[in-house]
Amino acid sequence: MEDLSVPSQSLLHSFCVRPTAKFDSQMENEEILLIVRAHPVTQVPWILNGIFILILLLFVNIFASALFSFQQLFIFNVGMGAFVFAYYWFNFLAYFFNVGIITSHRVIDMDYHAVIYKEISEARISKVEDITAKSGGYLSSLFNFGNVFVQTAGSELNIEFANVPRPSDVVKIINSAIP
Amino acid sequence: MQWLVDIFSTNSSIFDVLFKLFAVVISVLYLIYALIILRQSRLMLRAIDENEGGVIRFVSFLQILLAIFLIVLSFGII
Repeated sequence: MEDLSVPSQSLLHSFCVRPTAKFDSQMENEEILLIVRAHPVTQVPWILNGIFILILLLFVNIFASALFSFQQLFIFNVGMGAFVFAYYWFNFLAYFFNVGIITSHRVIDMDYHAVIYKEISEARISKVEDITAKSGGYLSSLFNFGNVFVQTAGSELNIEFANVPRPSDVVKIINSAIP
Repeated sequence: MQWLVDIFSTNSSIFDVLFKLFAVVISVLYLIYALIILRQSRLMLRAIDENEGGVIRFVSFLQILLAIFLIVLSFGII
């Protein structure tokens, strides 16, 4: 059983306990207890898509060599390489910056839709009423990830962390922060 | 397949110009996209910084260099 009060990082930084990170609206005496991201296994589809495009590019090269000059083929390949690189980087940024932050004062859900649209929802930890961890399906059972729903009292927003690793530990950490 | 090769070879100069134009336009659009991503990654790092900021800034900048390389390459096509 891992001690959740000791700083640690696991699963490619998708579950960081007490990290040495900072966020823009952090208060002076506010300590980050946990930063969670989607489980890395949920990112496999876009990684495979990139590989598929590269394989497709190989076949296109076989046919295109009869139509294009060497220079044209070279720029086509560099362009496609740049496209795949951009695709990977875009998805990585979307993965890396969509985080859930649990601090000693608040629960924050930071989302960047398509990288350029920012949405931040937060709830004071004292207003948290109910926390639910849900996981279902073969993959989530195998890799231990799921959704965590944080319901709050009054007009404050309910917060959802989607596909986060170790959902039961996330619930445990939020519960331990509630005064 | 041969008929397709013939079309391109008989109008090779027009095809080359169109290819060059297309490559330049796409490269410029890629540069604009890379600039937006660089700017946005800086903003995102301001929102949350987990000590990986240097790597993220570097890779975003690398994309701009790649875009500039593409533009230079596109202009260089005969």
